[in-house]
Amino acid sequence: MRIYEAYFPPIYQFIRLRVGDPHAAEDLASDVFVKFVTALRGKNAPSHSLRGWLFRVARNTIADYYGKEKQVATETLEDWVPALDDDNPESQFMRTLDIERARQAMRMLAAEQQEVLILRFGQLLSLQETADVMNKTISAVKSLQFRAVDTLRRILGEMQLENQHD
Amino acid sequence: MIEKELVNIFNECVDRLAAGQTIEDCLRQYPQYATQLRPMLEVGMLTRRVVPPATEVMAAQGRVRQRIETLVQTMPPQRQPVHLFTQRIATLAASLVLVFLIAVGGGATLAQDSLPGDLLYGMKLLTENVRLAVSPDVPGLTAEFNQRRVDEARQLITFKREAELAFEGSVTVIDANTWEIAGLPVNIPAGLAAQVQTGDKVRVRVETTNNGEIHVVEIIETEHLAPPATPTSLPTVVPSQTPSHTPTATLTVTSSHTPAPTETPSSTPTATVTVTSSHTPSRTPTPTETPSSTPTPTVTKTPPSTRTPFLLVTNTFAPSQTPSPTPEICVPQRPDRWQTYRVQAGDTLSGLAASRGVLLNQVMEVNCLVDAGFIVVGQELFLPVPLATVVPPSSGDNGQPGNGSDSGNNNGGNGNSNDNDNDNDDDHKNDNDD
Repeated sequence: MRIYEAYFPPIYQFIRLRVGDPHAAEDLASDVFVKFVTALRGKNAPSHSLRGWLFRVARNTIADYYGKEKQVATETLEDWVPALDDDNPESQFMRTLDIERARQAMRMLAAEQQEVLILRFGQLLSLQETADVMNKTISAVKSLQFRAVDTLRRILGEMQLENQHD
Repeated sequence: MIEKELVNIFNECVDRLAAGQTIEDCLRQYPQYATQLRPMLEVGMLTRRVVPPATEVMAAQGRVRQRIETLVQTMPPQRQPVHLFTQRIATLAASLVLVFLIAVGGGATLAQDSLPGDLLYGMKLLTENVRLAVSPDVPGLTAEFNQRRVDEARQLITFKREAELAFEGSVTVIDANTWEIAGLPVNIPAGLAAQVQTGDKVRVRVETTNNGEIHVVEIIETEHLAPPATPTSLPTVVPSQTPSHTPTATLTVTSSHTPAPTETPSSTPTATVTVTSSHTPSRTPTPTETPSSTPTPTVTKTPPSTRTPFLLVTNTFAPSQTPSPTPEICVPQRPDRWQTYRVQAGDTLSGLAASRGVLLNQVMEVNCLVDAGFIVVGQELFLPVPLATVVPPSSGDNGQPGNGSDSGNNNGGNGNSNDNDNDNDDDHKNDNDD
């Protein structure tokens, strides 16, 4: 019912993880919902899967943003607090890595790899939904997510090694 | 290939994690891959925890909300005040804002009993529009809301209240300038009398008067319910015009084609004499040459009902089939030369139809589909044999989504195909990996 309240956080999170600057992220999220409101008044209101529609628009908006602003966005790292996840202190690997490093590592991935991770793991979109949002086939998403995680794991491993050498 | 299997298993584990299972749950299923899967799944779970701080999200949410509200207020107001059906979800823009501000719970329930002109009536329409916007696919929702309009109209004339509203229904009685639409007596001004027959569906905008009458202000839409079409092979072709001149001999008409009422004739009479009139079946030409091949008429089909059908009519695709007169349940039937197709990832109905040279409507009717946007992977459909042996274009709608999935061909040069390496093989394989 409350479309905005329900969908703003995921859309914002998605954008924010792709765009370092919180102000830019806020503007882009705002753009997404302006487009939504405009679409509702026009002829191309989303006819099904509102969530997919919003993520798709968000994705395009980010792409436009990076098209325009060629420069690398400036990061504000200081206030980034890991989300609390009390129940499972997974394993050795997990514990030694902090969230911040994971985020840095994620930002070293290709844009599509970042997206697939956010959508599949962060936002829990289904394979089909992710494929729709990313305009890919299901099997393309499967291999993309596999490669993304695999690459991320390698980057994290290297970061850890560097740390130990310091 | 071990790699491909691993990719699939990994995906399954991702789904399981999303469904709330633990990493261990999945590893137990595939102990042979545990060493490879574990670090990957852990990394995956780690990314889940990478989210911006909640305070930041909330602050942004508040600021953007204000922006949107301001924007909506400056938008030009929508015309057509209380007119639900053609209004689309337009007023949702406004309702978005209103729903934020009003505590929906109490307000909305009170509003349910309101009538046009009441303070809360706008609220009632808003909540309906929101529901339509949020779940446009729920069947019967529009019908339910239409029934509300009809009931409101009835109450308005009972209370002799003036208001304006719109509803739709079938015309049951037509008597001079009084019709009965959806069971309500309405006055039709002389100027508005359209070619409407009993049984047609009309959508009208009406005014209720203070003496308890309903006056039609506008006939918004008319849907002629075709006379119970029996598309058996007895077309009554009335020659529109008798040929003005008698054709002199050698006329070869190669059309052996029996036109069904609504189809476009695909016959191309090859005549050596220029006959200006349409060929009249009554005439018996003396052919100098019998056509060697009987052309198979490509039946381009059925009245394309552009609106949501009121009831599903079983499609009798092959002209020889006898239609069941008033079917209630639509059962897909495979027409001749069509085959069963299993929906794959990336398929769209329109894409599938296009790749087989048939109309979307046709595919929908044969398969008893109501919503063109809704097919799922693995679903079985009846489709004609593909035109070429080309794989149907995997057309996800790009760019601005939303306007349905009825054009998969605008994918132009989006250059987005770089990740589609042997996808189709994959698809095939993935289907039976359980």
